[in-house]
Amino acid sequence: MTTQSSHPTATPAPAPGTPATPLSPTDQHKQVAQKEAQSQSADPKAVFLSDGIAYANLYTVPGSASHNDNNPGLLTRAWDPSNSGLRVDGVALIYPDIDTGAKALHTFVGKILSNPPAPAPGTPAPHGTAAPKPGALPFTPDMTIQAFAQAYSPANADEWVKRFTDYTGVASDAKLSEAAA
Amino acid sequence: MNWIVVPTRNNLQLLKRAIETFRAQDIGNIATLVINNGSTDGTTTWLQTQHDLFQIHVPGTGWSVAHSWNRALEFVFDEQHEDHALVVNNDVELHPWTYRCLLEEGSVFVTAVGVRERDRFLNEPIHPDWSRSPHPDFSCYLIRRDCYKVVGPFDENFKVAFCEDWDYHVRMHRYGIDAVSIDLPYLHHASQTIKNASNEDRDRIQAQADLNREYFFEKWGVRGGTAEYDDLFERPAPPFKEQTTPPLEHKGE
Repeated sequence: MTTQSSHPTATPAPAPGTPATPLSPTDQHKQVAQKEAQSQSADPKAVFLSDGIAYANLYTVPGSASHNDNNPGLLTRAWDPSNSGLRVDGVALIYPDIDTGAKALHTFVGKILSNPPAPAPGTPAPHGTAAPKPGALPFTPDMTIQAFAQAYSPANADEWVKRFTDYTGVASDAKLSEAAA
Repeated sequence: MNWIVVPTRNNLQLLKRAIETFRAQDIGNIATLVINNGSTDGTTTWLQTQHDLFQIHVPGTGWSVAHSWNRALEFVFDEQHEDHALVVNNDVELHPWTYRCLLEEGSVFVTAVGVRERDRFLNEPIHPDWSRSPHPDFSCYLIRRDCYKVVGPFDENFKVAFCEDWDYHVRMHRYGIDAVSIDLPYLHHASQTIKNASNEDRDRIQAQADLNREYFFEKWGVRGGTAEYDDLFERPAPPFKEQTTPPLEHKGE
């Protein structure tokens, strides 16, 4: 079951083992959360999940890819088509600044949460306005944190889940929609 | 960007091989759009882990080939504002130079040629001057926006699969576009979708293929792949304004 974090999302507490740096990782993470909260359509659920994703992606660790690329969501062109003209680091986009990267992560999470749940077997193919579009994300809100990690961060899913759950306090078998509830 | 469009339904192992050859295209700046038509063999889960791939996941039995191609090409041409796209089957393997050579060839519609033998695929030399054939291979075609906008979308009255390619070939000719293939081989594990399909799926595909053949006959008065079909391309293209798709009722799917 979901164990909703008691951490206030706009001022995330540091997780155990967060390395000390001249600019506190917590402060850096606060920047991400604050940028998200300031975005025009800031959805507290999306901000909460975004915080956890950024932390699990090591955004708070200087030298990490997510930190260096201003890309706390490690988003790719396929996940952020509106910024597909940006340069990439491997497949991850390099955002010009953390404002843009944080906003993109918030949008990414918002899209996931607004996706319809995975269709049941035998569901007919939708057409017209109900049809899926390119740029729709392959993640659904009924995925558990564990399942999401296996798709989103397959190379290190277990570590990713641990960091996410340590930070958010959400159980690994909670659904994304529940985690953000 | 250089878009590659690939509809797929099951056959994950072949799709993985195909995707690797797409990523290795020497033209660079590749963006691949996979239309996953209701796969049930793990394709969906695998695709979720492939973060560079644009994806459409369609539930149930998915979209028809014509519908898949149209939605993808509308996305590339209308939303991404690109000039061209390479459209391929999920059971192909490409040489790294395939995309570049098809683009450099310059036609608004040009295809490579599928071969079944890996040796032939691997040992075929690159020809400095491509010899052309009037027999396009719709399992690996490069189409430009100009062609798609003039000829229009693939006819979605062809449900599921089969005959939508013959129809487009005829329509291109009637619009004065000579669709050609060049002797650029790609490896084609042909018809794997139907070969590996469940009995239920296979019956569904074959039944609709028969309906599609009849629809094609109603539409053009000839059967595909026959001498009469070839004769269609010997006739001069009629004036532009006469080109319309006959509004026939078509049952199926």
